[in-house]
Amino acid sequence: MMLKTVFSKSGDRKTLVFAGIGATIGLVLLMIAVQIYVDVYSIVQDKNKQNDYIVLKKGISTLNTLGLKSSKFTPDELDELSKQDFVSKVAPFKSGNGFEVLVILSFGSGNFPPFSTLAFFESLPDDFLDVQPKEWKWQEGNKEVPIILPNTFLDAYNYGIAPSMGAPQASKDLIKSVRFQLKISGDKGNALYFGKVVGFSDRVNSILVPDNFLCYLNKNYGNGDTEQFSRIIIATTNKQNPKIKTYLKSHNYETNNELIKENMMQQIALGLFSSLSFIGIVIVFLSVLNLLLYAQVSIAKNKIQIKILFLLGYKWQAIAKALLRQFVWVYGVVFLIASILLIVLKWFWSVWLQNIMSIHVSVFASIITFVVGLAFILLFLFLNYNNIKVQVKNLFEA
Amino acid sequence: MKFFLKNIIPAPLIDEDLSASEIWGKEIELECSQRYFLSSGSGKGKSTLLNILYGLRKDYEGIVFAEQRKLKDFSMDDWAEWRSSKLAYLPQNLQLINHLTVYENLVLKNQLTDSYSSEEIHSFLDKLGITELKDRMVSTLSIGQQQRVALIRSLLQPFDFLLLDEPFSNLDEDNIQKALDLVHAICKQQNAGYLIATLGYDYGIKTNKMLLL
Repeated sequence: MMLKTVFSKSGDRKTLVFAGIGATIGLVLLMIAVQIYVDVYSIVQDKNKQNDYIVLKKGISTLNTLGLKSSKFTPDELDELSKQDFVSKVAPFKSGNGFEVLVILSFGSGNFPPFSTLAFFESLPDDFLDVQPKEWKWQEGNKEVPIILPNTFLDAYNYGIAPSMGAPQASKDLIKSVRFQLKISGDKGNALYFGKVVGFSDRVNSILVPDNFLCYLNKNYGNGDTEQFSRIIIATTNKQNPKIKTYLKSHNYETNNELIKENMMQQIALGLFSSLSFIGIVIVFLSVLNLLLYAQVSIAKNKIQIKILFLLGYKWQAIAKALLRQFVWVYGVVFLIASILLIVLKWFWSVWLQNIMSIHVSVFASIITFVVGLAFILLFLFLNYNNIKVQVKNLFEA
Repeated sequence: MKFFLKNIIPAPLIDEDLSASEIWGKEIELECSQRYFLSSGSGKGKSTLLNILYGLRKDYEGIVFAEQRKLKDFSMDDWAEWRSSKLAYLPQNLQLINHLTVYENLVLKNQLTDSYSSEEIHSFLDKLGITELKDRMVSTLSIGQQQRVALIRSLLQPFDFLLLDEPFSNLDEDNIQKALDLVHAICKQQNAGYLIATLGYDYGIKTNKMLLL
């Protein structure tokens, strides 16, 4: 096309290259910001699809120590809690009542020290558990009792007890393979069971046994099931609901600080998104402004050629398109490089999230990010075309 | 096609005595199939008239009609259409693109309407004796050579009327004759007329109508 030759022999290439580099950096920042937003949104969405679980307890004060105040939840309190709109279900931690549990662990040989300790059992309805091992069942007459331990117990052993006692660390599989004795002693009699760890829970920080086993122990060796509970667990569809925090505070209920941590994470992600978006938009618009100025300079430099083209009978649209063509490939290259950089950075970002934060997000950049990037490119092309159109038309009238 | 000029007075000549002019301030019809010489001394507005007819100037009083339409009402697209299919023009200052070769300048015009083949364009160059210059940058040519290139370029389109502004001012007699032969041949082929602005020369052609400006 001869028109390309008419214009390509003028214009400062350096300006074009620098403006292109600026636009690429700006666009990458913008696309990263969008990708972070998409990732955070998908993590929050994933979490919202499931129930969040919050363990509640009452704050302990000196009054509790002196026996002037109870730290137990009453049935009325449970009832009121279950009526709150942020609660989808609620259950108390059922605990052993009126009997003692002695855990005896003896390997007979090997490097592990013999171990015995008093322990306590609690139980929860199965649908509140984050692990559901197939061995998780007990029937009257069974001597073997499945147990779920909190992950924090294993961590405490592996990173606290074992190093301090010079004992070897234990894997989850090893712990699961060990049978240990459970000596139950109550007013109504004694019994011996064998415990076997069948799973580890992140959600519940307690030693759990099947609910029917605990009821059986309470009934046969203790004082029966109690109607008062020191800890309860609630399921909610939105852990970020501000009503939860207000309600807990007004009732002096305590929880773990996970809520605050998650809020903080979201705040950080939002802050990162906002600042990256802002910086990206500023850089990208400065670069686009540069490209608009480049177009104006280019048109000014080609003023004579453009006037000759009008004289020959060329339409302004053809001239504007020919001038725009040089920007189409610039923006094309900008989008291509920005997309490649985004793909690479996204891969590193998802691996980092997986390894450091244990958060799984796709290693592939979202299609939304590319669409947003492309939309910006089209917007810039539109701005450039309009700018060129006005300049070229003015030359016809001049 | 015809032009009708009604009391035209261009802005630069508004205070001049134009009573002797057959065009300025008068009503005159230009039949596009006819051949005209537009004759006057320097500074009387020959280029101005051609520029008005080609839509390059609008600073005048009076009205110019073309096919019953006022020229001042033409849009940008209208002019693009006319300049590529009805009116051909060789301006006095030639308006060639200096950083393109002779051939590129010609293709730039021809590709608008694809009126002539490459062979035909080469034959025009040959007729005016500038074939060997076709790959030279226009900026390296003499004014006379550039004038011949610009003349060929003005012919590379369909047209009803050809406007030539002092087209032979830098040519010798031999080259003027060759150029006139080419102009006549193409105009005959296209069934078109022309208006040649001159400083009073008729190039030996007595049959054309002479308009005094």
